[in-house]
Parts: sequence; C-alpha cells; structure tokens
Amino acid sequence: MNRPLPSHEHHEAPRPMTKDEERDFRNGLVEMVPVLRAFARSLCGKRDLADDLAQETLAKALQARDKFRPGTNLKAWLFVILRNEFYSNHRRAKTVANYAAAEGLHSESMEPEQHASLDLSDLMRAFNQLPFEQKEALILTAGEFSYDEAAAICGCAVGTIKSRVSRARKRLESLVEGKDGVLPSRSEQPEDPTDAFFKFGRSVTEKAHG
Amino acid sequence: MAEKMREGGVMTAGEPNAGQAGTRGHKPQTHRAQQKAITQGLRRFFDSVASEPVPDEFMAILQKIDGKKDADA
Repeated sequence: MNRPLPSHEHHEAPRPMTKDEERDFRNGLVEMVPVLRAFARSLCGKRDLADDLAQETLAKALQARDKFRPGTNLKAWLFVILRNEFYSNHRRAKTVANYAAAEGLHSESMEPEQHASLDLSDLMRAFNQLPFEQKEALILTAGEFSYDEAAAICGCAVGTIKSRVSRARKRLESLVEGKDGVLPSRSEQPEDPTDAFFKFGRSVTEKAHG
Repeated sequence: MAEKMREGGVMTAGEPNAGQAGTRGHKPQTHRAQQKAITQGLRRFFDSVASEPVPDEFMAILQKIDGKKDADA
C-alpha cells in the first residue's frame, strides 16, 4: 500500500511543467543522485540492490514529474518515492528478506569507500541490526533533514520519529559498546525485514488513529 | 529458573529501564559523547557513499527517458 506522494496532499491539480521547470527538475535530479544512493545504501546495505533502488526511484520520479510542485523540497519528494519503492519491493520479494544477513551485512558493499576507522564498520554492522523504520529515522535526521521533515517523509508524527531515533541510538550504543558478544556475529540473522515492514505499517496506522 | 524470570518480569514492569542494556552505569557526559559519535559516524557513512562517483547507469536512465519523451512529442 503505497503512500501517496506529498503533492497529492495539496489541493492544486498537477499541471505539466514548463520548459524551464522541466530543466530545473532534471538538473535537480542529477544533483540528488548521490544522496539518493546514500539513502538507499543505508536502508539496503548492499551496493547493487541499493543502486537498483535508487535507479527505480529516479525512473519513478521522471514518470511522476508533473506531480512535483516546483519550488518545494525536491530531496524530500524523492526520498518519499525511494522509501515507497523500498517498502513495496520488500512486500513483493520476500526472498530478499534476508539479503542483509546473507552476505551484505559485513561485505565490502556496506563499508564506506574510503572508510576512516574500524569503529565505523562496527557502527554500521550494528546499524544493520536495527529495524528499518529506526534506520531511516536515524539516517534522515543525522544531517539531511529536521525531525519535522523526516516525519513528513515517513508519513508519521514527529514524536514517532523522535522515539525511533532515541530507541535506535540506545540500541546502537549498547551494540557498539558490548563488542564482546552483544554485537551479533556475521552469521547471525538480523530481524526479518518483512517483519519490520509490517510493524512499520502498524505503527503508522496506530499513530494515524491514535 | 521460572521464579527468577518472574522476578525479572516484576522488576521490568515497575521500572521501564531496568535490565535494558546500554543504559546501565552511564555517566551523562559519556552517554552524550557516545550519542554524538553515533550520529557523526552515520553521517560519515552517508557522506562517503554520497561522494562516490555516480555510476553511468544513472545518467543513462535520465537520458533514456528524455529521449522517449522527445520521440513522443
């Protein structure tokens, strides 16, 4: 069940872009490719899966370009598309549910290109243990977006983002500190992402009705 | 064994943080520093991916779709 794009929430009907708007939009997409790749890699772990996801996002964004309102936050708009793609792919392809555990978890794909220290790879290994909704809350608020913006992107309340961030940080802290056994070994499976998806769906629904 | 578990359950119910790893024995400063390090580490990861050269496939998508549009027009 895909969440509608943000522009759907506005009352203005979509209209075709002017030539200038189209050019700006395209330039904007090009500019956003690096952060889309980074967001996708944060969620998926694996480089090729993440790049597929980022490419699908780009293709979807181009198809839906008339729904983008020029002058609004293109990055947030794209991130909404990316996470919709991510969550709906997960529902479709349950076979990929454990990919992060199988080989991506500690493979070179999760390591930063020029990675600075061992600590960072420990951190990212711990990060991979988190449920997806906590991963995205952490990544979105680690520098790219405010809590309000992250909430808008995830379609949930600001308080939900805050509590996810706080739970995620607490969990990361304990994982990173307890290297002697608390951080799961490479062979251990993280939480089934499909479960995380359904939990995510529930928590959004609860918030919406609560 | 069962008794011990029950006891643990009571403690947890009375005190939400009891028994939670990561909160025990933390000085607030250490905690803050650690949290900051976590955020900075994630940021570093994100930035390092974002600074990788963009694979050609991405530009190909943009061009392909542009081409189709021009053909339609």
